Amino acid sequence: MTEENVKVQMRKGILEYCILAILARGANYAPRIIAELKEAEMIVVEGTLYPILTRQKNAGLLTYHWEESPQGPPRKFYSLSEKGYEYLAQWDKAWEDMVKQIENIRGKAANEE
Amino acid sequence: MHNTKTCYIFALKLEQNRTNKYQQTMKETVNANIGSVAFTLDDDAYRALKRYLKRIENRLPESDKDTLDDIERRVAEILSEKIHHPQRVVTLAEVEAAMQQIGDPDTFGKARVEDTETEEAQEPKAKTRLYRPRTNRCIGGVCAAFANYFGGDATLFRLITFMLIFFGGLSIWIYVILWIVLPQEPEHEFTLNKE
Repeated sequence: MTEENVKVQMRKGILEYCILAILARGANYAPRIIAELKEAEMIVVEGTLYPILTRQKNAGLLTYHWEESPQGPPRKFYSLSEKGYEYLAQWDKAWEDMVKQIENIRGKAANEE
Repeated sequence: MHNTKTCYIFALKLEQNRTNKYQQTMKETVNANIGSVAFTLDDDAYRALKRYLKRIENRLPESDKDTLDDIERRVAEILSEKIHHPQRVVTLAEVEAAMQQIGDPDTFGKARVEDTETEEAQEPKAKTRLYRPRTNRCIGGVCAAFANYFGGDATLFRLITFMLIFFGGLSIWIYVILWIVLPQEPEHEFTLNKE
């Protein structure tokens, strides 16, 4: 397994978390979410984002509204619903726990040596 | 994505008796509504994009229309960034770049049914119906109809028919019956015929 493969596997699990975390800062539309995820090297192709947004919306985590844009058609702005914030809080906790556990495990390995 | 086909080389084509002589320099374009934005695309670019969206649709869950709409809107956004003037025509290269940016259809999952190139499969069929064409007729268009159907030169068909009638014992009534029986090419095909 190369480094790239490891990253691909990890991204799959946490991409959903990243999207929720971005939207927790305020409503946003897809191109800007894409830009941010690309910068963080979380996605390679843009298409990956859209099915997740739809899934989260259908699960009631996200809502959307349309905003007029000065150039072009209206933009679809996604934002977190109350349920989305609750779900994100669970993610935050799970993430912190996991990081702690991993540090624990690595720390043990270092002690044993 | 909806389209209106425009044939701006129509007059030329009639003159050329439907040869592809000018196809290289004057391509046909298609007006399409992509995610509520009007675009003019080269015919090949339009087909490539249509095929791409069909493939994605075939890989998303059947109930999922939202994602497809979102992706179509994304295509419009990407193309809008490059097309600054509404009269600029979108080329195949630009559509391909947009498709690459969004990703291979397989990103969206496995195909639900085998990919069908519906549009491509249907059009040639419609073209090869046995119609008496509205142009290039000599008498009733019967020989031209057969020439179009089998893909040959109408003059050659006429010559053979003429020979058969006068020297081969073919009854001239067969021509008359075919003239009556064969339907005339419908009007819309006359104006939109792509050959």
